[in-house]
Amino acid sequence: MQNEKWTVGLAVFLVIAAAATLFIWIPNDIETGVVETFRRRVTIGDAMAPTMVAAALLVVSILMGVTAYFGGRQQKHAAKAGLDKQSFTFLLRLTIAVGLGLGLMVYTGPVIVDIINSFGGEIGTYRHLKAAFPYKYLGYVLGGFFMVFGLIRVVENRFSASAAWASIIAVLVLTILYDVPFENLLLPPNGDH
Amino acid sequence: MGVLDHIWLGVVAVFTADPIFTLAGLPFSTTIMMVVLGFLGGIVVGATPGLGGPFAMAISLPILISIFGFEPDALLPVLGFLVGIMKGSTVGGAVPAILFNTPGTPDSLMTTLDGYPLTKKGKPGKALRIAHFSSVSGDTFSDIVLITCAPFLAILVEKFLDFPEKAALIILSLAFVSAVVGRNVWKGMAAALLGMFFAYIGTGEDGYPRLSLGTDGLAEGLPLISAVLGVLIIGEVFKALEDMWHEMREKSVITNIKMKGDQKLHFSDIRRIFPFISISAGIGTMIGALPGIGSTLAATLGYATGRKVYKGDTPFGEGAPEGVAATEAANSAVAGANLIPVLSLGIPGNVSAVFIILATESIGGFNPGPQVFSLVPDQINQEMVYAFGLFTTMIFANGLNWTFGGVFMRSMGVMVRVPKQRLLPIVLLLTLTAIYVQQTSMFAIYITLFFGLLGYLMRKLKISVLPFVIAFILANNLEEAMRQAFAVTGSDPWFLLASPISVVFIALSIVVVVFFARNQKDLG
Amino acid sequence: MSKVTKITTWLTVAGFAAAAFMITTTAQAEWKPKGPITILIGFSAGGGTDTQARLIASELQKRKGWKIIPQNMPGKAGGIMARKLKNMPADGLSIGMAVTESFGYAMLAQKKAGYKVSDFTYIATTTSSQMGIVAKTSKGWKTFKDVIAVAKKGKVFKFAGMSPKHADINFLIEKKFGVKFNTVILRGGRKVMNAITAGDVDLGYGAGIQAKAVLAGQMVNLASGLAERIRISPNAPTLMELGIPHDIAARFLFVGPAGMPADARKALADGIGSIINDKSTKASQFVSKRYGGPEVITGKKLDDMIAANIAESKMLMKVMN
Repeated sequence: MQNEKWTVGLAVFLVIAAAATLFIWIPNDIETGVVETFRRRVTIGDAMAPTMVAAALLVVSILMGVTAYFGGRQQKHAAKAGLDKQSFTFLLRLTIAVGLGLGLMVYTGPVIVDIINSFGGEIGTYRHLKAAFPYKYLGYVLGGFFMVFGLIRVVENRFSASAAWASIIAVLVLTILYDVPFENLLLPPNGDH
Repeated sequence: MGVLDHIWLGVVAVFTADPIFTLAGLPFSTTIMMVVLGFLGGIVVGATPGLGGPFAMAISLPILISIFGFEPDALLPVLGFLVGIMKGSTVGGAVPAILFNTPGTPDSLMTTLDGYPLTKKGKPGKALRIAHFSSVSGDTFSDIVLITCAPFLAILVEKFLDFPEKAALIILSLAFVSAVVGRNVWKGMAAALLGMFFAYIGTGEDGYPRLSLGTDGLAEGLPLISAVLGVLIIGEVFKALEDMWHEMREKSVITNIKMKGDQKLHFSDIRRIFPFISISAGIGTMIGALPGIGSTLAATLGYATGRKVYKGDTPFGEGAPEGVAATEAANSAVAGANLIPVLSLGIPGNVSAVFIILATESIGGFNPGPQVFSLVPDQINQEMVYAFGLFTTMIFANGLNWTFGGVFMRSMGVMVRVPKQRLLPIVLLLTLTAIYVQQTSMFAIYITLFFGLLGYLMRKLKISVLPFVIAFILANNLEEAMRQAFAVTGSDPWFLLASPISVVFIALSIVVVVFFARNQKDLG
Repeated sequence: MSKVTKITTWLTVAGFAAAAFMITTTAQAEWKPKGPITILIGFSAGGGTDTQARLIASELQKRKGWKIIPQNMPGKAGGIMARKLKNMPADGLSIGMAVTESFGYAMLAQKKAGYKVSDFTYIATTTSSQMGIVAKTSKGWKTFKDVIAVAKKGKVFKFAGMSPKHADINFLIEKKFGVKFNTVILRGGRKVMNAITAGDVDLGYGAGIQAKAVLAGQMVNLASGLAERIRISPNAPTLMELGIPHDIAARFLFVGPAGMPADARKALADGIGSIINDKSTKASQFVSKRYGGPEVITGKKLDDMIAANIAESKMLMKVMN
C-alpha cells in the first residue's frame, strides 16, 4: 500500500501546486497575457506556455491520483515508492555536510581578508583579491574539503584519517585542474565578487 | 558543393585540423587525440561501478569548453571527446558485470545474467571477448544506420515541416518520451510538465522575466546545465549515497577468479553468436532512433528475444555466451541511432544526446536540427561539415574499439576496487565546481542542489527523470516554435491543426498517451 | 527658497565642483585597475558580441597587463546583463558589452525593463551593424521595391525580424505601401538566416551575418537599415529613401555602472579604441569582415548618441501607438 499512498499524496500535492500556480502565481508574476496585442501586433504572450503547462499538470495529476487510488491494488509487484523515516535522517545529515561546506566556501575568503584589514593589513577588499594567491583558494579549499569529508563521514558513519586524506587530495586536485591551466576561470565563490 | 565535398571536408577537419604532432609523417590532430582520450577515459569510467558515461560527460564538458573555448573550432575536439566517452563507457560497462556480478549501470544488468556464470565457470576472458565483440558490432551497425539515415530524414523534415509542424513534432516527441519511459504514464507526463514549467521561469519575450518573483537570481532563468546536471547527476549521487548509508555492510570480498582452459574467441564462436548479435543490433538501433527509450529497455528486449530464438545446450542465465552477446549488442546499438533524432530534428532522445546538445548549446557554430543537412549551391554549409566530422569521429572511435578496445577493457577489472562512498562525494564537488566555472555564480550552485534534491525525490517516488530533462531542454524551443507558427500564419489560433502533417502529429501524441495509459499494467 | 538654503546649496555645488576638479587633476597618471576586470557579455557565447568582447579582452590583457575575465550573461537583448551590471560597484572592475538597442528601443519596449539609461556610464562603441533586409537570391528580387510591387498584388510574405523594433518598422512599411506581412520575431541573426535558407520565411533582417551569403550570391540585401547604403550592396535603397524615416543600425558598445570615475572611463575607452582601430588586431579584422569596420565613439559624443537613440526610439514608438 506504501506505493499507492505516496503516489496519491504526490498527486494531491501536484494538484494544489498546479492550481496555485494557475490561479495565483501566473496572474501575479507575468506581465503579458496569454495572447497580447502590443502595438497592433497580435502575439502569443508570456503567460501562454506556463498556463498551458500548469493546466495540463492539473489534469495529469488528477488522473495520476485517481488511477493510483482506484487501480493501485493491481500493481502488487511494483517497487515501493516513497520516503521513510531513515530517508529524512539521511537528508538532514546530507544538508548539514553540504551546507557547512558551502558556508565555508562563501565566507572564508572575505572574512579572512576583513580580519587582515582590521589588523591594519591594508590589502584591499576581497573584490580586488579574488584572483590573487592565496586568497582565491581559501574558500574553495576549506569549503570543498568539509563538503567531501563530511559526506564520506555521513556514509561511512565514522571519522577516518584515510577519508580525510582522500578529501584533501581530491580538493587539491580539483583546484589544480580548474585554476592552474585556465587564466579566466574563477573558482567558487570568486565570480560573485 | 555536393554532399561528397562536405563529407570530405568533414573527414579532413577531423584528421588534419590543428595537428599536435606528426607521427611517421602523418599529422596527429587535436580531434583525433581527444577521441582517443575520451575513449580510454570512457572505458575506465564505464568499468567503475556506480559511474557511467553520463557522469564522465557531465564532468568533462565544462573542462573541455574551458580548454577549447566557444569558437566553432572547439566543436570537433569537444564532440570527439564526448563520442569517445560514449563508446568507451558502453564496452567498459560490461567489465564489472561479468567479473564481479555488479552492473555499473542498469544497461549491463542483463549482462550479469550470463556473464557472471561464465566467469564462475572459469571463462571470464572469453566472456569479456564476447561482450566486446558483440558490443562493437552492435555499435558499428548503429552508426552505419545513423550516417545513412539522418541526412535523408533531415532533408525530408526540412522540406515538409514549417513552424507549425515543427511545434507539433516537439509535442509528439514529448508525449512519446513521457508515456514510454517508466511504469506510470501520468508520472512521466507530470515529470515532463514540471520540466517545462521550470524552463519557463525567468524566460519569455517581455522585459519582465516571468515567474521570477521579482528576484534578480531567477530573472536570468534557471541555467540549463544546473537543471540537467542537478537532476541527472546530483540526484543520482544523493540517492546512491543514501543507499550506501542504508546498507553500510562491508564490501563483499572480491573472489579471485581462476581462468580455466581456452579463453580465446574463435571463428566458430563468432558464427554461433552472430545471429544473436544481428537481431539485437537491429532491436537496439530501432529503439535508439525513438526518443526516450534508453539502452536498458533495448538490453532487456535483446536478451528476451535472444532467449526465444536460442536452441543451445546451456540455457540462458547459466552462462550462455549467446546471452552476453544478445545483451551487449542491443545496448551498444542504441548509442549511434540515438543521434538520429538529434541531428535530423534537434530533439535529444536520451542522456548521451542531451550532452551532445549541451555541448553545441555552449559552443557556437553548430545547431543540431534539420537545417544541418540542407545543401546550398556553390557554398559550403559549415554545419554539414561539422555533422560529417562528428560521424568521422564516431567511425574512428569504432576503429579504436575494434583494435585496442578489447585489450584495454580486459585490464579494467581493478576499477571495481574504487570505493564508491568516497568517489561520489568527490563527484558531487566536481560537478558543482564545473557548473560554477561556467556560470560564475553561487546562485547557480544553489539551483543545482535544488534540482539535485528534486532528482533525488523523483527517484524515491519512482518518477523517471529523463522526461523532465528532455522537456526542460525542449520547452523553450516549443514555445518559440509556437510563437513563430502563430506569427507566420497571421495569428491563426488553430495553427497546430492547419496542415495535415501537424494534425497527424497531434493525433499521434494523443494516441501514444492513451495507448500507454491503458496498457501501463503490462509494462515494466 | 530662503537665503540660508540658497547659500548652502551653492556651497555644496561649489564643493562638488572643487572635488571633481581635484579628482580630474590628480588623476593625470594612467588609471590602473585594483583587481581583475570582469566583462559581462550581454549575448550568448559564439555570437558577434561575444566574439568581439573576447578578442578585445585578450588583446587588452596583453597590452595593458590588466587581468580580464569575460563572462556571458545572455538574455532580453542585453537586458539581463544590464540589470546585473547596474548594481555592481562603479570602480571600473565590472563592465559590460551589449548593443545600443539594449539601452534604447529594447529597453523602452518593455513594461518593466528593470534599468534605465542613467544607470550606466557609456564607455566606447566598437562598430555598427550592417542592418539589411535580406532574401534568397533565387526569389528573383533585386531591391525591396520589387518585393513591394508583388506584395501590392495581395501576396502576404512571411518576414523574420530579430527585435520588436523590426516588427514596428514592418508595420510602418505596411501602412505606407498598403501591403501586409506576417512578421515573426526570431532570436538572433543565425536563426533568421536558417529560416530564410529553409524557406520558412521569405524575408528577414540581418545585422551583418548575411555578408558571406550576399558576397557568394546566395542571398541579396534588398534594403539598407542604415543611414547610408550597405557597402557590399550599393544598389539596395535605404529605408529612408523608401520613405521610412528611421536608421535602425545597432552599434556594439561597452558600458559600466553609473558614476564610474572619469579616469577609469577614459582609460578603458582608450584601451578599447586603440585595439579596434589597430588594423593588425584580430578584433579589428573581425569587425571589418563582418560589420561596418571600426567605429569608436567615446565620451561626450557617445552620451549624445545614446540620448539621440532614445529620442529616436521614443518617436518610433509614438508613431506606433
